[in-house]
Amino acid sequence: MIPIFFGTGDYQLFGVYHQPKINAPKSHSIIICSPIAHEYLRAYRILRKLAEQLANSGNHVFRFDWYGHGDSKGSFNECRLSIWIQNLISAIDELTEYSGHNSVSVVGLRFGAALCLLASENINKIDHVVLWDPLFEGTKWIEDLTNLHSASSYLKFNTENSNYIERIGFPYSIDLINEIKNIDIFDFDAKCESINIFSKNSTCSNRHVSSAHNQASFSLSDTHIFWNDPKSFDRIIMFSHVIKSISDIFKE
Amino acid sequence: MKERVVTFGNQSRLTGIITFAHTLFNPSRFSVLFLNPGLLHRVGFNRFNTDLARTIQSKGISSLRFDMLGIGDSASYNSSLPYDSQAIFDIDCAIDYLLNTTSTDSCVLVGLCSGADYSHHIAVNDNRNRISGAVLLDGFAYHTLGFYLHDYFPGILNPFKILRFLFKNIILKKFSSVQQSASILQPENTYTRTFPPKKTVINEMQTIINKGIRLLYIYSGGIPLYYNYENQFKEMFKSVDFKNRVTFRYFKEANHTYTSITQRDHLMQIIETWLVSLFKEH
Repeated sequence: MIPIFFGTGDYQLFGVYHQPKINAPKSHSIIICSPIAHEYLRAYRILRKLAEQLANSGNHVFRFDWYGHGDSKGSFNECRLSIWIQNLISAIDELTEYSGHNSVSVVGLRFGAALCLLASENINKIDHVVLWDPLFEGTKWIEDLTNLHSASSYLKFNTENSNYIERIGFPYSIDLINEIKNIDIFDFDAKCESINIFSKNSTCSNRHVSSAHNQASFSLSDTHIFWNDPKSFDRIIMFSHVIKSISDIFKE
Repeated sequence: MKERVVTFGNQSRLTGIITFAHTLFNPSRFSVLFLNPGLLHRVGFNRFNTDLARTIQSKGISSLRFDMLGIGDSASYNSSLPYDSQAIFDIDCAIDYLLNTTSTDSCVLVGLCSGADYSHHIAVNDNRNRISGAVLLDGFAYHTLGFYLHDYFPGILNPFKILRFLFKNIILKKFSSVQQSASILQPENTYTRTFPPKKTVINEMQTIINKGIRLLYIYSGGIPLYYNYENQFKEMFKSVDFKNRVTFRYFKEANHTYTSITQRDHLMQIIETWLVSLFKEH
């Protein structure tokens, strides 16, 4: 495991490269895209476990902190979708330098999943996308976030000002909120060869599979992670059986 | 902003980020070590550690935020030592690494919850004068008479709470084997903790103060099973001679992890001011 800073200047990011632990007949280069804001904190541990499991099967794996998150530069209220897409491009460059591969697979959790699909519209180096509990529609995601925020007796709406809206301790700029509201992953025209989706949201998945992405394979799977439970919005996620399912995809 | 990813300790199994003080300023003789809040990785609750590290950097203070074994990006915990002993060992190692790398004489420990407990332990047992201060967030707490009054009194005045209390503790208990809490107030995100005997902590706190170590105790409203009013700290530790080296604050409106931006900004301001005043003393 090699922790590094990569990227340049004001867009320096923190990332971790996991070397393959065995010589697999077919090794993949896999980027892990974490969720954003409070979900990033909750998922850090489980995504490290996923990275280790994928590396144990002989894959090159890279995970990183988005701009405005963790140890990367920037503040959350400066974040925009275009910056995060650029971050993903930098991460792909970093990983392909380590692995020597020309293309990568991306695994995205929650908001990270939407960013993976969004990026795969324009980045031809992405050949395979795995979406785990993805954000399907931005408006619904914002609605859930607002409900979660209002459910906590410790959190109020009185810090809202003209520049940002506070949700679960993170300042979302109005611009970012508007960008998120426009996200509908059914509208994306992903250029990748295949998509795997792990979600318990069967309604969205049916619409998804039957629409633009005929390359998608959907696994209806209760991931047992309660993202919108007010009692656990700051609890670390310790385990998910989806890790094994995702690892199995890259063994095939 | 000058930051460096570092790995250190036995077989470089610990990972962290050093934030170096701006060289334009006369750098502080002490540095700051951020400890993991529970299982959360080194960036802290809502990225508090990263933000505070970058704020105090501009005041001339260097810092290290790192992960103990089994957390964040450090190696897995597979030690023969019990977890707490291993954590203390890791922190000890991080202190030496921080002081050597930043050329500082001593450090201030910043810890929430279990991080506060470890800070207390290290401050008591360090015999190399490496600790100049500690910021303990939601550290040890003990019930006082005032605690019980604040816990039960609002309920006694509120007939709805009395009815709910009776329903939960008498009617439900009669028909259910589920153990109900004795408290009238049932907060969200309740954290359960185990503390050492109060007498031990009082003696140890006096030892720390006698060493000249400065202490900043901050309690949140997120641990109402243990701490629930402003002056509880004074009453818990009334037999300790603070010698003007102890400061305490209570953030009644904050939850345990300071999720609210307003509360977190306020917390940061309090800690930053306290650190800068310590800097001036040194």
